Amino acid sequence: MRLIPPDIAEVRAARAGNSEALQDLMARALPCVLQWCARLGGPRVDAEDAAHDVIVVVLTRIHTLAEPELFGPWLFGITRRVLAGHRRRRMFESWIPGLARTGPESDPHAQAELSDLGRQVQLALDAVSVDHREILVLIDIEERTEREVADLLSLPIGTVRSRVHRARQAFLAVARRLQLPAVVFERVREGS
Amino acid sequence: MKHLFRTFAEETRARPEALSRVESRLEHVVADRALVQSLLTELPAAPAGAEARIRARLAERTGRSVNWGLRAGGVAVVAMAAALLLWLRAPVAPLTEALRAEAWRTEQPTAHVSLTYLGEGDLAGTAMQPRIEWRSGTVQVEVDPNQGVALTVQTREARVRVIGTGFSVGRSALGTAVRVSHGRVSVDCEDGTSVLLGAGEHQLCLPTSAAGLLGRARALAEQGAAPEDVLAAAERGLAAEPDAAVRGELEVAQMEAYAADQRWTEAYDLAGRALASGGGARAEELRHLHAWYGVQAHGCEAATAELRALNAAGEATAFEQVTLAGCVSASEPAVARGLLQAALVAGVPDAQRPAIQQQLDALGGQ
Repeated sequence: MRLIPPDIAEVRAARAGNSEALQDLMARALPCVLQWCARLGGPRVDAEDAAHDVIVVVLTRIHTLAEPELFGPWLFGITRRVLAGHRRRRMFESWIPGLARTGPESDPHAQAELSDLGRQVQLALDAVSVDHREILVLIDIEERTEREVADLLSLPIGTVRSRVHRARQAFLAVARRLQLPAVVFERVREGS
Repeated sequence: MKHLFRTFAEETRARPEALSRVESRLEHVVADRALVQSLLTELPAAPAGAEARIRARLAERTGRSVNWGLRAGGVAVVAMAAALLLWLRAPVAPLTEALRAEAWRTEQPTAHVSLTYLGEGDLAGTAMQPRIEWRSGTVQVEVDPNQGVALTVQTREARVRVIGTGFSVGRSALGTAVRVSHGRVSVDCEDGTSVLLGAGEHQLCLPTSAAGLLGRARALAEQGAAPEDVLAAAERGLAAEPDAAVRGELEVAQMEAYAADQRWTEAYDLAGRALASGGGARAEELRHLHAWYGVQAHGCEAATAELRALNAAGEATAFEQVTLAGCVSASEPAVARGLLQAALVAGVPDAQRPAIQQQLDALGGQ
């Protein structure tokens, strides 16, 4: 489910306050947002909670969107901010004994659907830096083109290209550090 | 690597049941919004003729405020413009207009130029050579092709030149973004980069001064950008020889980016170095950050002394008291009890009170 290209006329109508256009736009954006939240949020973030918060921000801030053509990057920026907030909150809760959500149980729906392998990939992704995680999710998991990713992240395409290489290196380093099972690690080596 | 990522992609695909759960939670938000909109439509319309009356009043005021000197000056300008027009046998209308809009606004200052903008700047130059000094926000420009109109948009970071095209220039703390919808545009960035953009292409001209880069680092952090991008802006700012105040702020932006990226050791070391050199205006805040980064980077060992000092000075927050209590609970249970009780008095969020009370009970306190 790859959001975008958005219907510019629909974005314009939503920005102008047309409720029907706004609801259509949200219905189209939600699957993509939910996937971003599940893939970028890591094991401690409840993806459905985060996706809900992203859509609420979109509903209340759509009138401030300057250029309808940039709806995709704008939506990704909101998702990024909301996820950063959720991750911060989880980290803050971990300060207080007894309040911390314990590992993978935070989002039971999503976790139930993850196999052991999926959970290990999620942990490895969670351990790399935010910018590397974004690149890996957008390019290697969602299979977007470098041009698309450069537009989504508002970065020059050269920066995206160099980041892809470093992100994969970082992921492999983490895979080694986390001691992913040999079979998984071999698959990584073969594939890369 | 592909197999791994394919498995993960498949397992994290947005499933219909998850989508319907989020959609049902969003229903009340949409319903509330619809209710507000329906209530707003109940507002009475403006009385007939109100707009005309206001315009008439404004016209009256404007008329009164123009003095004879200005009128004479205006006549002289018009006469000079007319003379120039005759001399050049070409349209050279001087343009002077303040562009300011808090909601999107469209206007056509000359026959061949159309502007749509949100933000502020100034329009100057002539009809054939309009010049826009753009300060903040976004301006979208349409210039009719093949009419000889040479338009420029100047911002602090960039100069955009165009003959017959459509493009937009957006300026914010992040820098100046130029995006071309059709035609070709030449962009000269302040950092020396010069590019020729075609339809669909865009260019971001970054600030080059230390203060400008501090603004970019803060704006990036605020919009949740990747920590690496915030760090890049802060590091470029530090390389631009900032004064002491800007240096201090750039270092704080740098350590917050490290923390956002969970690079606690680097954040802790940087906060320590900043404190060792006095800490400037942020010295007090830096002590709290140093303690927090210390706990995250190295655990209690690195932070206990700092937390004790903050607590002794009466400056520890409730969270710092709870953390210090956790660090000393084994060796000094009475001190830990006192700290937890003080935290409860100082005020912690309601959701966290039961957990703290539980800790107190475990320590044998009230």
